[in-house]
Amino acid sequence: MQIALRGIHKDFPRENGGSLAVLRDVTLTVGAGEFCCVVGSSGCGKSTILNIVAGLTLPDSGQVLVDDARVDSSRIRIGYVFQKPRLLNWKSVRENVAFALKASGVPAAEARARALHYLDLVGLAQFEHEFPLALSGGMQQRVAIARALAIEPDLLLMDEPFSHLDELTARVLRAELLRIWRQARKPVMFVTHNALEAVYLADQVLILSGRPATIMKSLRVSLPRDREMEDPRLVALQREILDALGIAGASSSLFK
Amino acid sequence: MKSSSFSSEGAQGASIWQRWPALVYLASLSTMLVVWHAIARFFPPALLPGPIPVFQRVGGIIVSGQFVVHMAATMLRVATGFLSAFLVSIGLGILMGVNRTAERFFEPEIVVGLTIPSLAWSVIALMWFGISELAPIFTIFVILQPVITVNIWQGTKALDHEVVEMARAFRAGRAMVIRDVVIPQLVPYLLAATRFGLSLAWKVTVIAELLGLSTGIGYMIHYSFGIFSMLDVFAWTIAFTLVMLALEYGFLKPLETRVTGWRRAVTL
Repeated sequence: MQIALRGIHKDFPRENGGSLAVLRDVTLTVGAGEFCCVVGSSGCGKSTILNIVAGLTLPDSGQVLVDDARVDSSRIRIGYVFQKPRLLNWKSVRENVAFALKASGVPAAEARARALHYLDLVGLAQFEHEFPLALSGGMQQRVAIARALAIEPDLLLMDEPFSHLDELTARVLRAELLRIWRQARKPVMFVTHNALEAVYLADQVLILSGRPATIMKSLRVSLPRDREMEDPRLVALQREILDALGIAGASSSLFK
Repeated sequence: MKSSSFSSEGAQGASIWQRWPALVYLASLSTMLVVWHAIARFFPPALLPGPIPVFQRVGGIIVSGQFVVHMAATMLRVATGFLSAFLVSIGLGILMGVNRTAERFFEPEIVVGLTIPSLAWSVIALMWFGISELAPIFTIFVILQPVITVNIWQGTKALDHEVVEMARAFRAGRAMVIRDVVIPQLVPYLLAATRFGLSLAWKVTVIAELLGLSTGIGYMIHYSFGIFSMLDVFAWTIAFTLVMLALEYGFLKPLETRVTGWRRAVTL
């Protein structure tokens, strides 16, 4: 399955009556089974792109095409990992994962069984009966990842899912994500402001300009997996992205 | 791992008061009784009867069957008035929480409603409806409705829209969003409204009963005043209070503990 955006425009109304131009002519294609990272500075409209793909936000103009419009985009199963975990704090960890499964039409009994399997995958099976607030931020985010994977999505959307985690946890989860993705071979759209993370994960990196955002540059990363984050070729690609974003000479540690 | 291992209470070495919270309540009640008993010794029983004669009298009105009759009359008014106010307030509160125009339209109504004294409503209702069941029920309704609406309104405004968006992204249907995402967030507000509404309702009923009815706890307090029996005034008041306490600790508190248990979890 392939996802394409064609000429997407989006303005948001402002309190004072004017409008804020967020997206201008965003056109991109995520191929079948491709890992696509969208990189841009904070607040440039990256999340809006994902919300438009998920159908949560309607574009002012432009189209979202699934397999060249052959499939209705509201019919495809989308796993969404948000920046914050967005768990239902009044449900147990396992019921949180089962919630997404039930929402996508899986019968309750099967949903609970599959929920446990995916919690196991992110290493949280033993916490199935806990409430989310009893877990650390990193663990909560892993529950959110399990929730998105459990529905076995046709398309996985990830909005800076690791940006609130410590680097060590983030590294483990990145490697884990790649392992799962290579098994499932479903397209991923992964939004991040971390250039090194983008080149480590992606087949294709799209670089967004500042607001209103448009795609300034597209980059292919054809290095074989498993990649090393310290690989000089990745660091060079990271440099290229940072240059495109206009951060030439700035310390890359800002973008760890 | 079992949830008890994350519980904040029952830690090793905690004092006896922390391990047995019921003891604290017991100590609190005992202190009240002892202080009451001690003070009562300085006054004639006609002005301030002590706890021992009062509780004997409480036993007396319960055994004679009088208490059940008047309690039932009062509770019926409280329940009817409270439930009708609660139902209307849920609808109105949610509407005000989701719709700006409705919010602006009904806000003055709430403010006016909160300002009018309950005594005024009682008098007005009695003059309108005469000595009937309608008078106290109407009074409870008009006094409770703005108070409960404010709670539901605030609860609706405080809804976390990010999790609603999450549910929509995972294609949850409307019924599922309401049942699993919206209502659980409103439950604490509904509970607070219930607790506050009930305690207000019984105070309002007693005023209405005292002013013009011939049954109910308020009437009996008024009657006791008529025969100038402080012992009876105390006995009726305390007997009613005991029922309300039983409702609070036997029903509302356990319910609250059950449905909001997820809040007490501690971060690892």
